[in-house]
Amino acid sequence: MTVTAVRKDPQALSLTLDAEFDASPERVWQLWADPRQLERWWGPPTYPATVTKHELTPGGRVEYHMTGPDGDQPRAYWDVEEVDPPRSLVVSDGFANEDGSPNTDMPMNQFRVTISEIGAGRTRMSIINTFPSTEAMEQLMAFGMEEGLTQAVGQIDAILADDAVAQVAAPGT
Amino acid sequence: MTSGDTTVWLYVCRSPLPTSTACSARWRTTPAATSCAAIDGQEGIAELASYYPMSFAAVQKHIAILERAGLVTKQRMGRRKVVRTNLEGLRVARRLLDHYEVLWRGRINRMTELVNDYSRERDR
Repeated sequence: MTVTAVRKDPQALSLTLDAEFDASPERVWQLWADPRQLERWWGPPTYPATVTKHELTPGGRVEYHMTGPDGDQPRAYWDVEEVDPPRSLVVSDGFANEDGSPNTDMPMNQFRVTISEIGAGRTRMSIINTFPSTEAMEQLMAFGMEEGLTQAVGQIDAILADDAVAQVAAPGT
Repeated sequence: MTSGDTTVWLYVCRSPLPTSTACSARWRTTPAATSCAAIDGQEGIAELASYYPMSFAAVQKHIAILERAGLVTKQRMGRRKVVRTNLEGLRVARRLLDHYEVLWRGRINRMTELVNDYSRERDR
């Protein structure tokens, strides 16, 4: 199991996932720093991402589009806020117009990635994804649904079942 | 902690909440450090401010952000305005976070495959 912990904070509108890899921090960093690798995990196989610009520097921009089964190509971008290879990365992710300019009608969401070595050849990556409002989350999710970014509903059920077990195990938390 | 409809729960985050009013453009937050406190009672902003080691203006700002995020509402109670947690908003937020969890789990699974492929190639 790669994902070792998930924390959801509805007050802060934030989601935190911890994952562990049998690899060095440098190797895990490459998942973000190498655009060809980023393309292989950002979107699902049915909606792959193509990265057309990749400036992983503070104030830089990463531009990408997804390609759907019908040939639709929604565009999006990251505003890169903080970069400290191979330890941390903070970006705001937004949708773009056809011409690549930011779509200011759509909200953005931010994620903060922290990578640290936890033992010989083992690395933890923590991702904190935050949203400006519940409306923004709904709007982004609706877009994501259209883009096929989310997966089988069965997976959500599995997660909810896990949550129920966790709540039974830790009453009052 | 509850007294029916008059319960006021305010979750004030001690660490910086989004500080910019231009939330949709760029906002800063340190959610990992967020510690939330629930306050019982029928509090206005001034009372709430007295609980926290920060200024009235800062608390006011935090509440404004929480209000924009749909997590609290300001309501009139007699002559006073009180701040109340929007429980329905919290439920919606919780459900949406479940969806984003699925999205990120998919991404992390693909990352793992990539890293493992790389290790196999290297070991070959």
